[in-house]
Amino acid sequence: MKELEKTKRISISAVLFLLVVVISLLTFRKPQFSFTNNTAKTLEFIGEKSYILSMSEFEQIKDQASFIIDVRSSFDFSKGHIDKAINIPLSQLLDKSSIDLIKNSSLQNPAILYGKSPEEANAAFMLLYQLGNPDIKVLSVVTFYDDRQFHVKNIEIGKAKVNYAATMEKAMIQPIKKVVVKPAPKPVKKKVVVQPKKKKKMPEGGC
Amino acid sequence: MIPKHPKHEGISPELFAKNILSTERYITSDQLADRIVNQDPALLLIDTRPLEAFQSFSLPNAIHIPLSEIFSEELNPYLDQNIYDIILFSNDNFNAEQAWMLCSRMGYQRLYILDGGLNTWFSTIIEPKPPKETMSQEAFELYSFRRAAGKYFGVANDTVEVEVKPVRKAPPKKVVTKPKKKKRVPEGGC
Repeated sequence: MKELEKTKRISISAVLFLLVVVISLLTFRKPQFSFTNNTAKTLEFIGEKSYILSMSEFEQIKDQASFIIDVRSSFDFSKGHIDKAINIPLSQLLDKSSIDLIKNSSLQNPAILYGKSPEEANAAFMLLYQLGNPDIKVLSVVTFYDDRQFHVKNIEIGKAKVNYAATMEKAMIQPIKKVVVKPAPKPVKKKVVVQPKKKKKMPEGGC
Repeated sequence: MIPKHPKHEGISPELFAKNILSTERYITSDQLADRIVNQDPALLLIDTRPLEAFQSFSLPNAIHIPLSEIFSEELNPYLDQNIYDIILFSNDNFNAEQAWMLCSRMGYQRLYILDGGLNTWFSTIIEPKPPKETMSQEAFELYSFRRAAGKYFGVANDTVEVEVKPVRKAPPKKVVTKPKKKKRVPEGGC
């Protein structure tokens, strides 16, 4: 009797164990995205700067490259964008549809990213490159909407606008001069104190 | 039996995407100047520009870690820590941002970027533009803060008053013309 109970217990625990294994296998999900390029490789790649595209270079290959991605918000995109650009906002970059689109299209043409500033496009680039899309370029432009028109302006990345050392030296030595013009003092009129004339007293008494 | 998926270093792509969307990583030049002036002990400035640029000018007490060497054995411990607030900067945002992104992917904490880099630093702290008369009180306060902060960083922006006395014009002299005496014909005579 005791033996029978023991085997029962063992079999129940074996079934339970199997059940746990089966459930865990069923619920096991492969993560949707995983980085394929590690940081060391990414660092090496961004050091080459070959992924940065200036406006003049873009003009040359504009006709061939038909896969341009605008990473700004859809509101900004609706106001104006580069011809033939597709809008994939930075926040929707990890949606399955956009990832598939980028993967399929970048097989033929390099994907060209642009945003409000090169930094915005760079953020999208860093994400996509590390996810394993090697053929992406970043357009070094700033885009803005002004005077009812969409403008694209080329900028040089990492350029110092002023010579820092020289500016600092100049600022340290030269005090700012302020010219003060003092108004000429007005001649003060002398006060004339008029003393009241004493009335001649009538001699008192007398004869 | 068990399905394998590649292990990746650092954080997951989803978290990385969330991090790059957030603007919390930026610190303005005014906030940074305020923290330097108040001698915040938990502040570590890191210059990510090339060596020549660093040697010609950098922010006070900044450490030079070029972008290419952020994972080198010698310099990496400066970034992979949890004691200091690290401010990365370059000429503009670009280089600092790339360094930030790679470090952020590795899961490093307390990393910030100087918004606008040294270009903005110079246009705000070192050479601030005076506000217009019609601007708000805050604009004037910000301007005076920037002037004072600039003084801390060595800008001699004390105004020296130079007095200019108006030149007095001497009153024109009256020319009194004396009538010429006619030569008298000597009277009489022999």
